[in-house]
Formats: sequence, C-alpha cells, structure tokens
Amino acid sequence: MLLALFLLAVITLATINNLNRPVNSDSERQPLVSINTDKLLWSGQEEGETVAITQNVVPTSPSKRYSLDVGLSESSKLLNGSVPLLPTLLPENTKYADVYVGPVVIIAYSSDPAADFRSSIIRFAVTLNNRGTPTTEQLNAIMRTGDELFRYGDIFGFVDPNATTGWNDGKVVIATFYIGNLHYIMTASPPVAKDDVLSVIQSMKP
Amino acid sequence: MERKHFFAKSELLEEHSPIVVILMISAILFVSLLLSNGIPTANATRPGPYERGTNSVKWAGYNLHGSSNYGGEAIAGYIYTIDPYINPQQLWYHLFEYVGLELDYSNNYWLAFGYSKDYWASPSYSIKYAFIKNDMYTSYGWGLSTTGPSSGSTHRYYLMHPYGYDEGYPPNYFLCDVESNFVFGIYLNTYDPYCEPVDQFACVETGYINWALDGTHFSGLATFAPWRRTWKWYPWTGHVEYSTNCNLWPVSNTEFRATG
Repeated sequence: MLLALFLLAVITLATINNLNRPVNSDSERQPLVSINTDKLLWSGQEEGETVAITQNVVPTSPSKRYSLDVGLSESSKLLNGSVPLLPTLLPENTKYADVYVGPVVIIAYSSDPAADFRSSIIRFAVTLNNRGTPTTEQLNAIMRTGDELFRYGDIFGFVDPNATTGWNDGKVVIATFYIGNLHYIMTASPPVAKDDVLSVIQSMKP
Repeated sequence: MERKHFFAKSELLEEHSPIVVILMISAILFVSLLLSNGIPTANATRPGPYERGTNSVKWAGYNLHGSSNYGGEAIAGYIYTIDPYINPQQLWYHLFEYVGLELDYSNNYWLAFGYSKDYWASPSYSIKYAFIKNDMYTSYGWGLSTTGPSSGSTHRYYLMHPYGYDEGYPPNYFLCDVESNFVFGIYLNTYDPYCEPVDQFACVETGYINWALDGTHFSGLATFAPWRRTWKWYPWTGHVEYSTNCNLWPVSNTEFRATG
C-alpha cells in the first residue's frame, strides 16, 4: 500500500516537473560565431515583395521584404537616414538574413527560409528614438523580476529572459536597448539564452 | 467522548479498500496539478476563436500603416452597431467591432476598443463596450463594460494614449471613450518605456463562421498627431485592407463597410 502511494507520488512529481521543463535544453544551444554577412542568404524571391501575416485576429500591416544590403538602404528611408547597427556574432546555425520594412524595420536572422519574421532565431525591431534615451528609472519602471540592466559603451537597455510575445510561441528572451537615435527591441527564440543575447548585443557594429 | 483524528491510519484503511484510497489520493493530486497550472477565469485569457491561426473566424478592416515609425497617439472612428442573430449554445463565440493601436509590431502587442456581442456579457450575448489587449503580461486579456450601445445606433469611439500628448499621465495608460464618456482606463505594458503606438487599425471580427456581420459600417477614421506644433485629429490619409471569409467594401481612406 505504502509502496503504491510512493510510486504514485513519484510519477506525479515527475509529470509536474516535466510540464515545467523548458522547451529547449542547454545541449541544443548553438555557439555564437563571427558571421560573414556576405554569405548569408535571404528568404525572398523578389526585392520589396509584400509579406503579410494573415493568421492573426487583429489586422497587422504587411511589410516589404528585402535582402540585407538592400533592406538596410530601404530602412534608412524610414529611419530619417540612420542605418541600424548589425551584430557580428550570431548563433552558428544562422543562414538567412531578411529585412522587413513596414510600420517598423525588422532585421530577422533564421536558420531556414522564413515565411515571415516570426520564425527567426533572432530579430531586431528598429524604430526612431523620438523621445530620447530613457533613464535608468524609466527602464526600472517596466522591468520585472529577473530582468537585467546593461550598458556597453553607448548601448543602454535591459534584457528579460522570461518574456512572451503576442504570437503565442512560448518563452523568448527580449532585450530593449538604445543606440544613438534608434531604439531596438531584440527577440531571441530558444535555445538562444540571455547570455547569448547580451553577447550578440555587445557585438553590434555599424 | 473519543477524539477522532482525520489522518488516523486505521480509520482510513478500515473504511476503504487500498484501491479506493489510491483513487482518492490520485484525485487530490490531479486537482492540485490543475490548480498549479491555473484555472481559466472569465477575466483572464480565453482560448478558442481569439487564438491566432483558427480557421473559424472572419474579419475585415483597415490598417493605417503608419510611416516614419509613428502611428499617432490616438485613433477615433464612428462604428454602427449591428446585432446579428447568434446561436446562444455556442460558447466563446463573439462579434467584436473595434478601433485599435498597434504598440509592438514585432512582438504583437496591441490594444483594441469597441463593442462586442459575447457569451460572457451579462446577460449573455447582450451588446457591451469591450476591450482586448496583448502585452508583455497578458495574452488576449479582455474586459466588458456593464453598458453598451443600442442596436442600430452609431457612436464615435476614441482610443487614446494621453501620455503622448500630456506627460502628466503614466506612459502605459490608455483611455477608452465613447463620445465624451469614459468607458475604460487600461494599463498596457510593452518593451518601450514610452509605449508609443506604431500603427492603427479598425476592424470587425466574428468568432464563428456562421455569424453574419452584414451592416458593418466604420467611418470618420482619424488619428491624433502633432503637426506644426499643433495637436489635432486628422483623417486617415491611407489604408491597407483586410478581409477573411467575408467581404470588405472600401468607401474611402476613412470609411468602409463589410458583409458576409
């Protein structure tokens, strides 16, 4: 009788533990490597093609998709002449880089051809920093337990290792940071971890 | 009088067979597991039609598609109130007509305000003012007012981000008015400490393919923005059209109808 109860408790605890297990384990993490952006492919067929996310209950404006070089040029038109910085370190399995120009600029890196930016490993949404870089107090006001402030030279922001997007795609890491007159919101999907995100941000160069 | 103890081993085993005891404990553990994962409530999040990717919704509307990374700090629009026949046995089904602000395009955070005909209204399927939001804390959080528009009436709905105009308000506070009447004050949190909208939208949706949205009429769509240091309401000067499983009838940049 006691043995049966013990086994039942063990099975139940194991089930609960399994439910709370992260989707991806550390063993699946890809090392960060220096990326030669010239060798990255892009997911589109034609520069400036329209990409719309239709499977969404709230209408989302479509974007125009470009390869990296063309996209950076196009994005500067939306960003008052500014060109976003790019990371020089990325997960080893990064093969594709796409730039989406819509209501905001999104630079998305993925391991496979992407239907849209949601399937990226890492993406940066870039907007003009209309109101200036916020203070530490302003960032503290929106930070949660576990979030971490960082400052690397001119780069200032915080990272949230337990974030969720509105796409119902599970836990992600989101960092928000400011460089010059641009505001970046970086979203990284598992198995990219918080430390990887911070390393990628530190590697950003013109 | 003999004192009894609830956990007295002898009583528990004497009154029930071991299999019954195991089943009872299993039931307790199962309920504990349910509680640890949370039980959905009417004011939390809901599954079903609101989930992205469902095939049973139909919707139609406009997006402003803001340029220069600025979506305006507020949206206003006239919405005619329709009252379609519904099958009240279908839980989760709804009609929702709204204006909205897109806050984070990459991560899909937004806020919408309008009226709905919804199972969760009191009485069920009455027409009430409603909001729904997606942000860093809440996936499809929503709320219903105790009041609502009458069928056949047209009202002007305002969804405003007052911080963009007057920094006396918290940056994550949004105001929902109908005409000049306050309906909701909503806090919405994003990874932008200023919560600046990047786009706007106006839309009708139903959660069930057989619900008709005939009669839908949006007009007077306007954005609130500064121009030459003056804050004013400006009619939309462009739009992007959407429709799924129904018909959108564009009239102008600021007006559309929908049927189906």
